Amino acid sequence: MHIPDGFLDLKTVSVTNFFSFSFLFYSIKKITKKLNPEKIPLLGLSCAFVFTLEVISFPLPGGTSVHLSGAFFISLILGPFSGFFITFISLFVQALILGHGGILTIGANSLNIAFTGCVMGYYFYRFFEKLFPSFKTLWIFIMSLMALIVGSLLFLIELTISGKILFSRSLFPVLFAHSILGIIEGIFTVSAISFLQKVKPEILKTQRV
Amino acid sequence: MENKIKIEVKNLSFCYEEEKYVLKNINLKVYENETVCIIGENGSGKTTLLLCIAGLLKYKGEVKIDGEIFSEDLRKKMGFLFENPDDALFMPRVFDDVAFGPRNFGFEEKRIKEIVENSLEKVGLYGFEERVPHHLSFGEKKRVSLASIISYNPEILLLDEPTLGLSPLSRGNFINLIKNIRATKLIATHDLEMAIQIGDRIVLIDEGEIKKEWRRELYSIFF
Amino acid sequence: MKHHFIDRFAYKRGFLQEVNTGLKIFLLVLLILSLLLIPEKIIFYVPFIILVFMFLIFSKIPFIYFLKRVLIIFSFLIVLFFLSIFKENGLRIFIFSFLKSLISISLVFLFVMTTKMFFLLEFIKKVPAGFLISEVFSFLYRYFFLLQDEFEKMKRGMISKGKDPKLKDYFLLSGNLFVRNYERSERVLKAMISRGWRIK
Repeated sequence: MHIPDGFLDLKTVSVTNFFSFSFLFYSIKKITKKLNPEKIPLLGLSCAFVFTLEVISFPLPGGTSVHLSGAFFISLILGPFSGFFITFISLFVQALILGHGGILTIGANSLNIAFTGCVMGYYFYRFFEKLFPSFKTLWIFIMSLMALIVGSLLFLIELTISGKILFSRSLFPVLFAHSILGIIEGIFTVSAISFLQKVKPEILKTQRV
Repeated sequence: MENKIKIEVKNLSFCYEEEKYVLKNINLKVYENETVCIIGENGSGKTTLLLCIAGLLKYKGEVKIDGEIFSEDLRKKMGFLFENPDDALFMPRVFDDVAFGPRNFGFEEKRIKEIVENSLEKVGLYGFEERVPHHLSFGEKKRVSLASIISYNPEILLLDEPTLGLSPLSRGNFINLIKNIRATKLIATHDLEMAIQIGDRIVLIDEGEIKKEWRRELYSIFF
Repeated sequence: MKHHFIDRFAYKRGFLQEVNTGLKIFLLVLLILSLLLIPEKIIFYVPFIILVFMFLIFSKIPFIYFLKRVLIIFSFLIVLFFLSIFKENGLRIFIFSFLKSLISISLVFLFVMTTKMFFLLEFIKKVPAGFLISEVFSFLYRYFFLLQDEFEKMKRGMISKGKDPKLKDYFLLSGNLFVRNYERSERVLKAMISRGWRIK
């Protein structure tokens, strides 16, 4: 869930922005050092894809809809630093064009969505995939779900520290909602990766940074 | 009197996967200011041949431009018109797409504005500099795509299906635009009518090999 | 499909349109930061609200269009409202946060609508590590409309063959979209190289 400007206090904004912008510059450093420059159009178009995914309303039963983040999915293809970088840019542009999230809250939103999905999710997935490679699909699903749950916890902590909500009262509804979202995101990531494996498996061998 | 050889392709072969050859031992000479149209079925290798000559795919064999083996330094002599203009227009505004080539090929920045305006004027899109490519109609995108390659005055034009998807009127106008550009042209096309209209030679490619060639003098017999 | 082009009013002659991009960005951040620091009393918000209206009028942005864009924030705020009300003084806290959000998003939209995309990209190139950011930003801006349209066309194709797309169909279409996008990136790379772009 994107936090708009006005809902986080100065200290939370400062800490989250410091972290996210530091990680952004670190990611850019990694990308410029290691990524084959021929992949720049892929990076750019993948950013457009992530943005599009976040804008499409995926229909749910009952007439509701949901938006996916695609952060973990893109990190499985392009790597954690490229994934974080393009998800950060996508979130920033969403704030500019669509009002999804704010300018000063970009740090918090990137932490909750980009970092949890692209970095935390990615490394945990790689860890478990090495240990139990036969359960790849299960790990993809679990890490998608975990990324959203951790993201939602961070969301709650940020709003609580800013004095906007009561953590204890908000925990269950937010976690519940994000668990559902996480399940949907997990199913999406699993189906998308399976689709790529069937249709264009070489995509899964793209250089990851 | 024979013109000098502008493009010489010798024993060119290309495959995407192991042993699945898309082009097999292609030999072709294109003379200066000649227009050669390559026709053939879908999947026959027309586009692949153009991409190889443009140095955009790694192939076996030899491609010479003005007698020199192809290298990156010769790239500014060639302009490639892609079949889908959305693949070739990747900047936020038309001005930047048309300026992209000249800027990369070292044209002076102070000349760029004039170059862009002239190129757009040649394709009938004067005043389109600030437009967003996505806003344009398909025909306009094709014309901007053409402007983006003529902007750096290449001596060779490689055109992949230039008239595909254009309305009859747009097609006619586009063919005239191509005709009026002074350059050596190699055109991959299904548009046989256009090939007869502007081609000095028509080359048939089938299953990766050149099967037949017709000079203009023989069109009335065979087409 | 309706596209919200971010700089659609940037070509009008108006107050914000004439302001230098760097200065606009600085002012935007300063104003939003100030909102975080002002005490929670309505009187302190009034100058910001007046400023928004003045910017709107002098930059010649249609009010109804602007309002429709700004009101999208409500879907996020409803959720935050229900989370806030459990806290003591939650309603009061929410109202002031809501005001800050509304003013912030208004300022962001005003800035974005009156800044030519090209100038924004040129400004981004000047910041540290800005080259890569502006390249990716540029591709995003150029291609996301295309991707949205492509998605809609695929959906229409499905509907035309008698299938009303459900969630799992959307997953299939998304996977498809990614493959097409990936292949497009390869063609775009070739187009860039063909016009002299060198790998530095």
